[in-house]
Amino acid sequence: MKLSTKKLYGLIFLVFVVLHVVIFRDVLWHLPQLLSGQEVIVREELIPFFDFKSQFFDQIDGGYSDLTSSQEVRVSYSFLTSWMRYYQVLPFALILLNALSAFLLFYAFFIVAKAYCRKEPDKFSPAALFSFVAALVIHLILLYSKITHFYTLIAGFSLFAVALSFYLIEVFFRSSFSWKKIFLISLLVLINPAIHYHILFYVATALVSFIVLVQALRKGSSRAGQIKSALGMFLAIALLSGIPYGAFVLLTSGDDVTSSIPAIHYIIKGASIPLTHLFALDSSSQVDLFLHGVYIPLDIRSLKLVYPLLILFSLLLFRFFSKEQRNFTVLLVFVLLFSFWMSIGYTESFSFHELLRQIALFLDATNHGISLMLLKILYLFIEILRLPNRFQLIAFFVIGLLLTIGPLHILDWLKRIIPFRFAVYLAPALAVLLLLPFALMGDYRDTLLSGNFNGYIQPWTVSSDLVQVKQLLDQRRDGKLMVLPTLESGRIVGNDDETYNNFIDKFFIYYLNYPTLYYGTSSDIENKLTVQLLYRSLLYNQDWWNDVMVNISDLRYILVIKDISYRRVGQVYLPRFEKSLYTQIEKSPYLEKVYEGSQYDLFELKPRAVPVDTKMSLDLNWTNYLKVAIQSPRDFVQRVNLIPILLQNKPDRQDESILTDDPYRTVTDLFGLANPKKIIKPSPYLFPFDPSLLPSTIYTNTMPSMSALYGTNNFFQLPVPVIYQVFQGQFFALKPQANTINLPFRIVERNRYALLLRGTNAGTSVHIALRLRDSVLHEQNLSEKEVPAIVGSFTYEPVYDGVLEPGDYVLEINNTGQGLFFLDMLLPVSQDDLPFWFEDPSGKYSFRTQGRKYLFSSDSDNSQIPFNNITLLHTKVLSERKK
Amino acid sequence: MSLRPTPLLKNQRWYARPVASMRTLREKVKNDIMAKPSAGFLLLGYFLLIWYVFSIVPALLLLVGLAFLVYRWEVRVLIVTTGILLLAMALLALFDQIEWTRSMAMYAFFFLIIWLVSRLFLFSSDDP
Repeated sequence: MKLSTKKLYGLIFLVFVVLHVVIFRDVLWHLPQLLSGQEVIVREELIPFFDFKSQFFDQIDGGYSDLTSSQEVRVSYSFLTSWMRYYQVLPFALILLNALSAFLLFYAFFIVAKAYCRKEPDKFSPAALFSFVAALVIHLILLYSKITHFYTLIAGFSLFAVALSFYLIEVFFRSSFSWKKIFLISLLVLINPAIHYHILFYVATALVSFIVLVQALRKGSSRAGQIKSALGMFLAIALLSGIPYGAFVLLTSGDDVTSSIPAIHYIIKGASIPLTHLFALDSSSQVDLFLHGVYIPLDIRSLKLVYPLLILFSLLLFRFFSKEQRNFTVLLVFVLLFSFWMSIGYTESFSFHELLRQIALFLDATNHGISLMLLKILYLFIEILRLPNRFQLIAFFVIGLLLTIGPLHILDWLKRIIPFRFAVYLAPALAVLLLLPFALMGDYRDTLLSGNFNGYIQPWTVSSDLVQVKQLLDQRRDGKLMVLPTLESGRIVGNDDETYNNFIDKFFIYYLNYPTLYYGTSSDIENKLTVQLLYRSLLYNQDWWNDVMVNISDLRYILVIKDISYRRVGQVYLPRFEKSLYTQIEKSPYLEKVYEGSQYDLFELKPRAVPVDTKMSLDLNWTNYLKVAIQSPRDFVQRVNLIPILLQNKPDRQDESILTDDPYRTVTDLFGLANPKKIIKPSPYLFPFDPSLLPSTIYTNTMPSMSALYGTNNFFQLPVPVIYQVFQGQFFALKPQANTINLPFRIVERNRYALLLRGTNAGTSVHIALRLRDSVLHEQNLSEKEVPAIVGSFTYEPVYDGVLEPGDYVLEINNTGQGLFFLDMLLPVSQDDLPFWFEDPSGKYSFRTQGRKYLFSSDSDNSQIPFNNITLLHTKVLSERKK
Repeated sequence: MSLRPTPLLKNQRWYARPVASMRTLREKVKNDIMAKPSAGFLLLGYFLLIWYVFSIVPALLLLVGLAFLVYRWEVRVLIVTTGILLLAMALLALFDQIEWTRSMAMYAFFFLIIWLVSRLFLFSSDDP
């Protein structure tokens, strides 16, 4: 029986729909409850609530979300399919979108296979069968590993595959330059809901174009059309899709997301995929995290080695390939090996990332405008893709194609050695062989056949407490909410049915659709650092968290999760934290319980007795901070804002009083806050490449991991609570033994300058050199100090004092000793900026900036301060324009 | 000139062809090296240099790769070797020999690269 192409497509789509109905059958059994909202499908980052207003339109201008009090980038990037998370759409999307994704993948493989054997039409039927099987294999691997983000990563992969298949056909098989296809491919790239595929598409097409060019050049001028097609189409598509998408990203992104979504060497290293796993088609998987507690199990799933072995076997049969087929297969193997090379991250010394690292270090060392621009491009490339496992997606596409065309040649070979009467069974037998590993591998079999993904997408009843809390908050709608404790810490939460589930805190935020102080993984660093102070107090069962809480801007409600347990596998952060939380929160003098349930309590902050704006601010080292927080009399601490000035979001400061233990530091900090453009931080462009620089973002990526900074079990092997008081939420430690960091800065007018280095020497010797182009203007050694017991404060160290002409300078810091050198930032100040750094201020400090004059005076009468080494600094802000 | 296996005769055992291929390969390797001793010395020099600068593993891999490129030996040997390495990898993984598994994967990767380079730059599409 012969099927028309349309009927074939219809049949294949139907098969995929049925397959997904089987895989997600539990979802269908629970459909009435799911549609009514009584039950939801929720797990990890799969949050079944979507509101276009609060989750997209409100964020489109600059990316800031009132809902999470953070810069949100991911939701707006993927708005085309994010709405499919909505609880009434999700059950259907799980089946239909995934079936459509699988079908598109089949289509992508089949059209290439048809072009590949277009001169042998009798191979179209086995090509369809192998395209189906290859699409199924790749789709099931993706479904298992990326189910949480199926609406972006799996759907996006299929769109990426179709676009790439069109490109391959046009460039390789047709050597054409078709504007119609260019528009079509550009459209497919543009509508891709996952940002990763935009970059991956250009990487893949660049690789394809390169190989087509190499093959064409070996053939001489007869391939001129192919060269034109490869280069022309690549550039046309890059322009048509890259520019509009780039504009969209710029429009919807905030200024800086490097501290909330860091791309740093250690995180990239942790997410690198070893070659063993690449050969075995193992990918990092949320389901593996759920089942085994790790994203990538250490043991490879060896049965999947059948696929590379089958591909290798087909390569042995090159004599059955036509010239064109050989060239095409070589092209695919090249792209495959290249994508492997890019996926291994920092696991091997010969990897793509290692090469990028060397290039990045070279570009940074040259410190030229063009080289720094190239470095920025390298950084953006890594920043968007972040984890090397993204490149594995290119490999999945190529393996799918090789699994489609390879068996066609194996079939040819088998037909020659096997009696004719068995020939009709060969293609189905090969297809079964390809699917056999899925039947034999326990995790895959159990997950795909369980009906609820091994419990991963088991419909879960929304707690009746939570429904009532939502009703209550809907009536009130003033101030912000905070959730305690965070679930992004290995905790699982119960419901009325006493079943437990794990998901991120955004479940509460999106379900309640209420402005919240989100301090989870992708939140703003200021949120994490502020809440970290609160956690620090609760962790030690101390009560000063109350005085942090009352000073959090707009905070009105606290949602306390009571029905909590720990996940069976994987790490749990801050165990027993909630025990202290429940004890402390009941005793809080500032909170009133407005809802009490068996699983959740809702607390409301009583009206603040002392307005936050009238309180004393503070800028103290960690020891003094704890003294004020813990040892002060109640009437004193009530008049202090325990959120340090560097964490307060106050762009327009007014007259105030600041508790300080170092007026020089405090006044300079205020100058830095008023002049953020003068702050020179180490360039983030080196973070993904340079392991000699340890950024604090290693620990601030997730909020609970910040607790490591209060002990010695961290990379620094020192307690470094100084994180609560640094500029822009991150500091850096320069590793010992001749590791160097460059801080470039520009001087625009001649003046006398002091270069102030905000940091701490933790038992090392440091060589500092000030360079202008190739000449060294100044050199200095910072003497070795003892390793401190705790890094609780950064001070300003003047490393240069003298006249500087306009120009581009570089301050080179070389850690030549055996300890760490902690660095927050460099602040070049002139004698007009901060005169007190150049002459004795005699207790009077001042600076001018942006039409305002800041006058500081220390209180001579310290009787109202209960500690000897802390003084009160009064700030008077005068507007010079009015004068 | 590529290495072609001797044809299989009637009533020969299934392993006759691979054994013959190995025999032919051994003879060809010997003949090629004897025919081009200067190339052999050059390869040996590269091998020693890379061994001295890096270590023996990259030196050996480079030696194998360059030998296949210089003498144009049968590249299917590389594919078979890659397959054997992957099977060895699976076997070693069963016994939790993680370091060995990793090494096998790395060698398989490099053998595939040598195959690819040979295919891209040395062989025309007509060569099997």
